Amino acid sequence: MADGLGFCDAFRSNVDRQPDAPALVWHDQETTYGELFDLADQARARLAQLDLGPDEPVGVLATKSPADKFVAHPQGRDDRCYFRTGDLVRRDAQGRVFLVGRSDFQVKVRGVAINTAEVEQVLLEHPDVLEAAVVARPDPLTGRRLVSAVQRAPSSGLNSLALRAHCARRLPQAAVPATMQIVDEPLPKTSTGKVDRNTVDRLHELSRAKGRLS
Amino acid sequence: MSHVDTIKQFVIEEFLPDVSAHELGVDHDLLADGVIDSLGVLKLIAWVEDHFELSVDDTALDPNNFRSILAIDSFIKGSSKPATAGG
Repeated sequence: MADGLGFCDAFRSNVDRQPDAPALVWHDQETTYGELFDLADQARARLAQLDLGPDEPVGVLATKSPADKFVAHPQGRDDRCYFRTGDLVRRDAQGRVFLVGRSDFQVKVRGVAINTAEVEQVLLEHPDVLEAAVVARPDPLTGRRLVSAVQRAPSSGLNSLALRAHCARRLPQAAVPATMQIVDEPLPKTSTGKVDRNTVDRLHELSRAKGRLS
Repeated sequence: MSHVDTIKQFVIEEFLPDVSAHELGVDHDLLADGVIDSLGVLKLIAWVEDHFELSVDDTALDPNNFRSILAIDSFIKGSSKPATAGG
């Protein structure tokens, strides 16, 4: 799911073509942020450009996207159907739009807003980490917990204690993954070559099944 | 008598399954980097009560008592006299 539909890839052309693209907009003191919306039919057309094949896009949208991806105009300006791209953007005073990240990676853990992609980035900054993946999973007690998996460099002997210390120096406490799995093999990939975060979750369940945790 | 080894074994089994005993220092700050979070502290207290048959008073629920293996050990030493119910 987290790998989504690749709208980030199409972002540049999207913005060039639609400088006034509707967005779910919020403000902080100086900057306007928003999540980009796209007309549903244009979203399908764009998917077609993303090597999904001419007949596939609609089906892909239907199977991969929850219903809440298709919504009305965020400000109710017209009656057309819009597609939430999940691209988080920033609009400056001149109206230029900059890509900030993906809403897929935005989660709240114990009341703290966390971008899991950022946590992955911090893990990757450790010299002994080759690959990293972070997902938020439901937790019966805390609502959500972060589960991470990393591939360590051969013979580095990296353990979760060292990795935790590394994260704690760079992240707020709630953003330090509750579960750290460290493996020597490359992490499983999706067909597009990205780390398969769903499998990361399964790795976690496997380790639970071995009786290490609660 | 010191319970350092017993405590260390529990902490490793429960919170650091991939770490070996010699890698975890007895004065390592377990709270600072989230090895044990607030829920973990409760779990730890429940274990201490059960394993050492002592009752942890509400006033002793200070995370600093559980910050490191040594801190837990000295807390257990200090609480060895069972608390009287309804005190």
